[in-house]
This record gives sequence, structure tokens and C-alpha cells, in this order.
Amino acid sequence: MIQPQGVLIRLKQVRPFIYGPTAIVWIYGLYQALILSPPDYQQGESVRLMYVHVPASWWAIGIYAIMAVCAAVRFVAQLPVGDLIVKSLAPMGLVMTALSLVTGSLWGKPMWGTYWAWDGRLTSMLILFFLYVGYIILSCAHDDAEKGLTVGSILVMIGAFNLPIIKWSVHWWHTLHQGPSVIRMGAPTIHGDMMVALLSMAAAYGMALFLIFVLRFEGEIARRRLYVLRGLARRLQKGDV
Amino acid sequence: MGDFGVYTPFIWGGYGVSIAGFSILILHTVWMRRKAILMVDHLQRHYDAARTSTTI
Repeated sequence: MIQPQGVLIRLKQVRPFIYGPTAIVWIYGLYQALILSPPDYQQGESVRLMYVHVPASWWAIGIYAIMAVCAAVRFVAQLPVGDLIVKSLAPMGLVMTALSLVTGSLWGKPMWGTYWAWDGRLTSMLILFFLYVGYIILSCAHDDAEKGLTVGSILVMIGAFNLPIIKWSVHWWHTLHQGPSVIRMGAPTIHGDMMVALLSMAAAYGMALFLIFVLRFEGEIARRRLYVLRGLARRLQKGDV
Repeated sequence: MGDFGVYTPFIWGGYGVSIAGFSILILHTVWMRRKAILMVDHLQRHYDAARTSTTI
């Protein structure tokens, strides 16, 4: 059986080797995004918002997909580590979704003339934001932590139906949001220099998120111990132990 | 090659918001982890002491 402490030990062994490369990839990614990459022939310099908007969107969706898999594994295999991973990832996904929505609005205003439109892609991302908020509220609201996590995990699994809607929304509906230009059938349609900047920033986001995840996972294990200790303390006061 | 002089407030706003978002996430993570670890240590000490006495 996979134990949370065992997973944490493995993650902490890897962590020191990630700090340096993360800093290097961030510096390289920002240099590419803000200096080296060319302006777009239509959007001009505003295209530079793509390098913060798209990685945030990819990771917002990717984190939710990981959460849905872990929530399912938790139910099928009864693994407590699944709960801890889902709970550690939720605030990270929430922040990525918020960044995707805000940077998308800031990109939308100069390009579309509006900060917001009730378009398929934007609305499905907003639903993703509320799914993250819903999980965080549900997992914390219950007096019995186990029940809160169970209800939260069910919401995460149900909400996974939103992921293909986000992906295919630009095909299913006639939307203001542009179609896919990187993750699509056939070759990417963006310039190679822009692709380097975009992938560098996506990698920088991913590496920073991994480091944050290790810290959050350690914190969640401590929170779980706290919950057990409080239960033991209550039983001790009642004279049950 | 980029020219910072022609970047609009929307561009700087997007990068600023992203840095702020990561900063909030990192600060919350550090605070949450530290608080949980300190409280576990505190409660563990009380629990160990209480097991050898009559109160907690």
C-alpha cells in the first residue's frame, strides 16, 4: 500500500535537484517571452500575454485532471494518499484558473474590445474555477474531515466532465476565443520562436508548481496528523485511552 | 526583439498579476505548512505529557 509519508520522502529527495533548474527555466522563459520572441503580425506586442495566459490555462486543466484521477483512485483502491494529493493540488489549480481568467481578460480587452464575453471557452473555464472553489469549501466545511474529503472527491469526479467541454468548446460553439494552435490535430500553427517562449514558460510554471506541491503535501500530512491527534486528545480527556 | 517602451499596461498587468498569483500561492503554502507542523509538535507534546499524567 502506498503511504503518504513514503511518497513525501521520495518527493523531498527529488526537491533539491529542482530548485536550480526551476530558477534557470524561469529566467530563460521570461527572457524569451519579454525580449526574444517576435511581435505578432496582427496582435503586435499584446501577443506576449499568451506566455502567461496559456501556461496558466494548461496547468489549471492539467491539475484538475490529476485531481480527478487521484479522486477516482482513492475510491477504487482506498488510498489515503489520493485525498492528500487532491487537497494539496486544489488551491494550486484555483490560482492557475484565476490567473487564466484574469490574464485572458487583460488580453481580451485590447484584442476583442471587451474584458469578458459569455463564450463557450470562457464560461467553461469559469465553471472550472467554481469547481475548485466548491471542492475547497466542501473539503473544509465538514466536522468529520473524512466525510468532507469524500464529498469533495465526488464533486471532483463529477466535475471532470467539464474538461472535454473546455477543450472542445472552441469547436462545438462559434466562439470569440480562438481555436487551438498548439494542442491540436496536425502541426502547431504558431511561429517556432513563439513556441519556444510558450513551452519554456509552461515548463517554468510546471516546475514551480511541483515545488509548491511538495510543500503543500507536507503541510497536508501534518494537518492529517493534527486531526488524528485532536481525536486522541478528546478520547484521552473522556478517559477512553 | 522586444521593446519595453511600447509594451502596454495590459501586458505589464498580465505579468504583474501572474507574479502576484504565484506569490500569494507560495506565501499561503509556507504559512499553511508551518502552522500545521508547529501545531502537530505542540499537540504531540501535550498528548505525550497527558498520557503520563491525568490531564491534557
